[in-house]
Amino acid sequence: MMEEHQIDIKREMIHFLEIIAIPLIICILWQVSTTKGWIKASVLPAPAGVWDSAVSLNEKGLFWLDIGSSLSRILKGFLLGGTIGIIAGSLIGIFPFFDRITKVFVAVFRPIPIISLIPIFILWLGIGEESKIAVITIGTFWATLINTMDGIKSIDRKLVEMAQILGKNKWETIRYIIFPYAFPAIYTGIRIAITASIGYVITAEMIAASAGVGYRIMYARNMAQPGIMFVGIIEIGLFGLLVDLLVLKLQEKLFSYR
Amino acid sequence: MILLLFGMETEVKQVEEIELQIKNVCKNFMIDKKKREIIKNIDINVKKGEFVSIVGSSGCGKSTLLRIIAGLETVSSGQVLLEGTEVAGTSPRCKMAFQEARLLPWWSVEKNISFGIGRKVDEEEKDKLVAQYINLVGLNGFEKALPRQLSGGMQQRVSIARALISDPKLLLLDEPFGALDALTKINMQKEVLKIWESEKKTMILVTHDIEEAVYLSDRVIVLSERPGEIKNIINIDIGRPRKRGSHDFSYFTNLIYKEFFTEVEREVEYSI
Ligand SMILES: Nc1ncnc2c1ncn2[C@@H]1O[C@H](COP(=O)(O)OP(=O)(O)O)[C@@H](O)[C@H]1O
Ligand SMILES: [Mg+2]
Repeated sequence: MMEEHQIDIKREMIHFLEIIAIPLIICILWQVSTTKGWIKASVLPAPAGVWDSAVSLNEKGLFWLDIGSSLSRILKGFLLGGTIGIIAGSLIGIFPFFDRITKVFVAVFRPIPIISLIPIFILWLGIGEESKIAVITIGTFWATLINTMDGIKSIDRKLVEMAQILGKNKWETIRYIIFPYAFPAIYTGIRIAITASIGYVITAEMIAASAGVGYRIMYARNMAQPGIMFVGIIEIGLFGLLVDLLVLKLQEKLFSYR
Repeated sequence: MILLLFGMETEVKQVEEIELQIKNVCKNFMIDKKKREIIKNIDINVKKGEFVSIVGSSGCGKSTLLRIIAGLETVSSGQVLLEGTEVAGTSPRCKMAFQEARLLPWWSVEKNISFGIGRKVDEEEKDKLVAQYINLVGLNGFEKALPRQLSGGMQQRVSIARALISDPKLLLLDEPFGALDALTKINMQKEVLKIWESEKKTMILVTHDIEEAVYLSDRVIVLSERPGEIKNIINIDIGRPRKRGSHDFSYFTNLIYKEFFTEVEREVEYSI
């Protein structure tokens, strides 16, 4: 009993080492190559230099301001685009009529890269919040729309037939069979949407903004402050990691029946 | 005059006794842009409380026939009457258990079974009903289990309980034990027989297992190869419970086997 427990702990430790091995090596290489002067600080500052940049940003009150503005844009755009995307995707998936009338629209507009719309949104909506939220809304909309639609369309007809035999009406079938069945796909859409939103918000902020992680990176480039650029990049990476962990944990909880 | 009245009365009585009438039913499907006859001229009356099996080789239209009775498929010609009323869509009188259990993987055994309850009932009565049917199919202790945690046989029991819980008069079983191992299958057959005897339902079983048909049925309907036509109807005149090894039992299984062998022999002749 005791021994088994110890083996478990040992295995977990080995797994943990496997996971952090590559990030650790990169950090060591980074530290060594910068302190030894193999790479110039104006190209890649040492970890300590990046840390100092983060501290100075924080002292000016910009560190959390940037993160806050980027996050609030993602959240607003995601809520808006996700809601519309899931509703529209459901209608298209459930009712062939909606599928028919939106077919051409989807086929034409969906392949357009969201990034290419940024200048248009700035033209229409200005350089304020609206243009950035709009970009995220559109990106989130497509990701959730397509996944919801496909998830519902892939419904196992045999289950629908079963509900029919049991005398369930259309609404009951949608509620108890079609939606639960499509839920993992809808969830995937949400996950893709959040991850993609990070990219959209950074890009939009680089083009026009007065705060935000993307804006700060661009600003630091213009000011030749590579330390601040790397603060931004690390922030984005860590945020991505956090979202991933959260999404996976939630997924285990939601779909434990599989 | 009196005679005439008498005659009418017996006829009315007869109609009452009959659960299902299948009148000259044909079904065609378009397959590969060609019209194919799948079943042809099927004429069967099933009495209330009767256990009827339909046997036939695969592809002869057994499932199609059941689906027509269930209201999942329309006829190309002919008529199907449930207690004298023409079938148009699914009916609360008639429930079906499929070859696959078709359970909802995100729901427990309990919830899957309670999904079969047709009418509005309060929570308390619902729990009582579900407990009763879990008991009927012998799944006590597995109320909270998820479908993936059950064996194939147990999943089938859930499916049968779900079909029975709304108290249908007619239960259709489409090869429900086809995917089970021999031992589980025999246990499930006993289970179904027990339910049939205690619940007084009319049951129609589709199977390609001749022993299963003889073990369970009052009558066995043998369908021909496609298009499925009634080849023979065999009354199984043996008391229950039936013993698989008994002389009578093998007499009837042989009788039905012969129906298939003659067909195979004929085919061989043709191919020469
Ligand atoms: N919806 C359908 N459309 C076209 N052909 C079908 C359909 N359903 C069944 N068939 C055809 O009808 C035939 C009989 O099928 P089925 O009733 O499932 O046979 P069985 O249950 O006896 O094996 C098969 O050849 C099958 O291809
Ligand atoms: Mg079949």
